[in-house]
Amino acid sequence: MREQSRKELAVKPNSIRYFRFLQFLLLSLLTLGLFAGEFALASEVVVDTVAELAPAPQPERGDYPNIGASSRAIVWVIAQMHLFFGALVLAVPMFVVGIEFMGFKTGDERYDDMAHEFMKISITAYSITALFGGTLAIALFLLYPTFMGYMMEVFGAQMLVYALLFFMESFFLYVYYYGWDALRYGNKKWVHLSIGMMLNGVGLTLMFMANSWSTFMMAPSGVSDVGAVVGNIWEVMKGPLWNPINLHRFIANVAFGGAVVGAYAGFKFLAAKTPEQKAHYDWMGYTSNFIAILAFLPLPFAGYWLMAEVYSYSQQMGITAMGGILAWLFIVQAVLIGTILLAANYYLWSGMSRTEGSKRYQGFIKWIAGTIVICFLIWMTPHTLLLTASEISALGGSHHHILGPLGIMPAKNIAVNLMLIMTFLSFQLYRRSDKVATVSWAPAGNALLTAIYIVAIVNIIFAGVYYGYFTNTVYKVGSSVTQVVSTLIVIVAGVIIDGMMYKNAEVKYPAVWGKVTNRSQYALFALPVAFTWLMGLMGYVRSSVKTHWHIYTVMKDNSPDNYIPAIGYAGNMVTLVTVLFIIFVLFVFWIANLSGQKQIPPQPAIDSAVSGEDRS
Amino acid sequence: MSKEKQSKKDSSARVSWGPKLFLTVTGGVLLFFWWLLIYSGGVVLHH
Amino acid sequence: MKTGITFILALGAAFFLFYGMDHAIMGMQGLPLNLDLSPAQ
Repeated sequence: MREQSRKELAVKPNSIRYFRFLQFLLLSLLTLGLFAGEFALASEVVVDTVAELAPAPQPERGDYPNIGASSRAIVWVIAQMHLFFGALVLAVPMFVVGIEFMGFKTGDERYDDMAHEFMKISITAYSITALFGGTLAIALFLLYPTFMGYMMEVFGAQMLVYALLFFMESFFLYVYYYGWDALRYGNKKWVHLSIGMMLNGVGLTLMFMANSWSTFMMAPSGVSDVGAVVGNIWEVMKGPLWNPINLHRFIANVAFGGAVVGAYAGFKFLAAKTPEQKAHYDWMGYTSNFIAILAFLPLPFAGYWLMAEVYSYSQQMGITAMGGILAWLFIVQAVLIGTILLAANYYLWSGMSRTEGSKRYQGFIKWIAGTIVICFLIWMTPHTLLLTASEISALGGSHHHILGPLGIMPAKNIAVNLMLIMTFLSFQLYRRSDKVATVSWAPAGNALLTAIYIVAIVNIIFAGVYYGYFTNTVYKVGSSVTQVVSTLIVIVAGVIIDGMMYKNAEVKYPAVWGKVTNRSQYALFALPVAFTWLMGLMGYVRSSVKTHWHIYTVMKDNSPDNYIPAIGYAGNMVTLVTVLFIIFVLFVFWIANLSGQKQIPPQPAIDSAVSGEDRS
Repeated sequence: MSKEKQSKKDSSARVSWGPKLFLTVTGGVLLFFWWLLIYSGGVVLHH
Repeated sequence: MKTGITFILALGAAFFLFYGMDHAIMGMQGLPLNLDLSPAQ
């Protein structure tokens, strides 16, 4: 009895200390948030009395410093690298905390080890993010001083809050990573998870704040027609595009992060020396691919919301993006997304080799592959072609009479929904491969699931063709929602019915981790390359929709580069930053490897015995 | 189930306030994001 | 025979599910449909 109470006394103070410390941190974060609000009100007062509603500056050509190279190109490369690494650094802790939680709940150490290993990559990537961030700030102030001066005026103390948040980010990141083994079990593990949660909270806040600068440039709010700051910081930040971009980047970061760590797993799998290592990295690759695809599936819909808000804000901007000069980029986007889906599906089909039980389902693969390829071809079919006058007369118009109709949105919606359903089917078959259902109603369950797939596919095609080509625009646009819901019904029904059907299933054909082809790992390499290029491409769109404005309709761009760069040039730039990113990521992987190596101390020389040295 | 496993791994500390802390922190973070992203606080948003 | 009947019943159930969903989703957007799924406006 006495021993127990002594133990309790010895234990409680430490735990209470940790708890109080974290309470203090939480309160600080909330207080900081409240103060941010205070700063906002204070800055509003200052702006009103001092700035006296000054319009946005209109710099002349001579106001832009010239350092002998294209300022836009320099900022483009640095900004894109910062965004790539920032996305990685924000995303990894998000799914790491999830994986850590899974490990905690299931008691399976593998999850915890994998989560810890993912964080090792994040730490080096964090330094690189900061380096590019600092360089970007310097480049922006150096090359666009008038623009940055105005942005400082508009955002004021918010930018300082952003800088201060990095102290919190660093604190939580280092404690989360270096405290991993010290906070491994029991209540301490919950403390560790809480720190991970705070890390994600601060990271997301950083992204949301930086997003507001981007969205302000595209759709300014809180300022008058001539750029005078008339609103407070909340009106400036909460523009019409802010939350759509917040959601889109949040989901996209997770998909991107999953793809990059998948490449790490693929790299380590190919370099593995023992079957245990192969099994570990094979499993890691599968988990990363799963995260990437899971996050990737809702991404088109977040993007659709963003475009809808762009159109709603400015029809001109919306048409520039998807109906005018930048429209062709969405064909390039289709090619990249098709690549991503093909690579992800190929990885799942290859993964079926891990278990004998997959042989039952292998017949499906050619149909899934065929459907995906046909849909991919439809999705990347353009509407308007770049034609010479003679080509136009030969064609009988500017659109092909058969392929032309495949170039408009209804066909694209059919294609993308079918591709998502096929991807889900690949995943569902993979998940079933190692099991046999033991419930009595399995045949009925399978019949229902098959029926749902068939009717969903028919519904999607019907909605796309009928409402898309034979009714008015409003019904055409509205039918895209029924298509999405059809896809969602397949996914939800699939998850629920399979969950129930395989509840106490017999794992008759256990999967052997590590028993997968080497070439499947190349699918894991293809994913982040395609994702990275896609991110760069969309950055080109985001910047170009502003056409010749720094801040749309408010502050004109008068620099030597005040035009939308041609697609070929942009393609080269995006390829450049993608290659640069891959080189840096390889450096990050190499550092992760290096930190695990230990040089063997040199053996004592035999000569010393011969020379008579006393070595006792 | 997890409590049993925890006591096997670390007998010196029972899981007691840990989950409460985690839920408080998670709740706090979510509340913060609601305030940052959704709450307009009387601010007129012209869209 | 049994699997055939089961499948036809399943198809029927799925058909009603998606048919109902089409009406509901289009209706929610202010785009009502006739019974043959053609636009009512």
